[in-house]
Amino acid sequence: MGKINLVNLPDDLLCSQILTRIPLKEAVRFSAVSRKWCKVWTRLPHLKFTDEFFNSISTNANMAEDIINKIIHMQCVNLESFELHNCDRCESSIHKWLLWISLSGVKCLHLKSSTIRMQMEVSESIFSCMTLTSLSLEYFKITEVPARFLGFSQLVSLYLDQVELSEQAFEVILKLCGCLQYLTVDACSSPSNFLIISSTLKSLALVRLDKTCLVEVNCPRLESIKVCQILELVIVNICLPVCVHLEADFHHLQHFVTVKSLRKVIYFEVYSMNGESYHSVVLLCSRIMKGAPLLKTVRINLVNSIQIFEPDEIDYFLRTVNGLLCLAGDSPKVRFSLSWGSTAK
Amino acid sequence: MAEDPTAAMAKECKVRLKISDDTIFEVEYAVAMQSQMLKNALSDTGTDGTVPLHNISSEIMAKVVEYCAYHVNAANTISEKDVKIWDQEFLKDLDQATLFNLIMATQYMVIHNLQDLICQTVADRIKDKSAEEVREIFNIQNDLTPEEEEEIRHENQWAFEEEGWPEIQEEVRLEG
Repeated sequence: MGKINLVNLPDDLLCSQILTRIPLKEAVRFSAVSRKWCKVWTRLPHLKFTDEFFNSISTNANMAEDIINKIIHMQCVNLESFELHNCDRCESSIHKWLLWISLSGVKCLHLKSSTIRMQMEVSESIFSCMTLTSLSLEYFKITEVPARFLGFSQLVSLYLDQVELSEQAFEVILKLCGCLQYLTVDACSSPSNFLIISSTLKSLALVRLDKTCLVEVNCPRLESIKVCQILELVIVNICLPVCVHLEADFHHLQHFVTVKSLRKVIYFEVYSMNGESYHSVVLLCSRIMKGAPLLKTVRINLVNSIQIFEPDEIDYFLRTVNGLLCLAGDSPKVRFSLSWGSTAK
Repeated sequence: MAEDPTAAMAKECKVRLKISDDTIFEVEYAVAMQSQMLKNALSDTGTDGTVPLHNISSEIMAKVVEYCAYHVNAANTISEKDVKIWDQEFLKDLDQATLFNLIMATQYMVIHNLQDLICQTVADRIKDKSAEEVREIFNIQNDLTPEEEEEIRHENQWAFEEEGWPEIQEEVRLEG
């Protein structure tokens, strides 16, 4: 094997494996290293215009838009992923950028608006990105889905953080994503209740849905569910035959799953509970410990709960905890942990 | 989940890899499976016979096997922190030629974790360096004429400017 050096690396490998690990500004600076590489950065398959990028430009916001424009137009390979923060500062150009990258066959799209302003409406052009496998939106509003939208037929993963969703929008998007497997709904709001219906969904995370009172889940293939800070969750599909990973914050959750069978649960974690919910937690916990032969780990975190128990509840609570510990003792194969101390979340 | 008997048997098999100088490397099945390319190749042909890897030298193959063998065992038994320490030791004595040969080998054999490790190391070395510094590190001749270099810097001016924001913030503080 001859002496090989950085210079000998094929351009595509250099771009996809090395230049994608350094800030975009530095990848462009690479063009001054050698004649061979004066345009190599235009082959970057991942474009990340994050806060780091915006901060690294010493000119004002308008120039940023021009620079991004230029970079996007100079790309000469199919884009794998595109990330853009501060979308609200580029509002006038974002529509054409999204159209441009949709033609490039982009697979992963991550858009984030700044938090300072009110949520901006997501650009209609996003619905033209038919090749998406992963979509992540932060601080947006989705009021309407265009009639011509045929769905993200290849979308596997959808992440919504602080997105204001109209009832119609959420329903349509879910319905038209025929192979969605991972869904995260974090601090999103909707005028009505959340209906999550999907025959392909494997993993669901519902976090901080404070304003919504009811979430209904009907996903027969669900394997993992994580629930934090929501008021009421009803899993319509009564039997969770494939559910293996169950994490929940029972602090706000009043009515959990009404399930007949939790046979396949492998991991069960409770983030917190309060005086009203601990009874159902204990019930659920004992049912899982008795009825889930594959159970490996049970974690119950009482950190945030202990302060909010009424004095007369504490005694009952302590007896229940004792009961849980006895149950744990009966199931030696299960790693059972009960934590009291403070932990950072 | 019960393992089927053939899978269990296969795990005890050795996989034979024939490299560039016709030497044969025998590796354990589990170690070979760290390579997606071998995984695919063997699922078609089975573990009999020899897989040819003509473009990989014995020196590089040895390194690849060393890494994969450690990581197969480390998967469930060794703490993440200790694995990271081992990885750094592994990288320590590798010269540039080896690093880049490993990048090519892991690309061909599709071994993601090793490729990530090497590429991240290289990226860390060129991060925050000027064009001239990058040339020095990797022993690259500057084949650009001053005019060409000037043109490149001008075309993407924004990339060659120093960070501006901290200075602006300083000014504001002084005024306020």
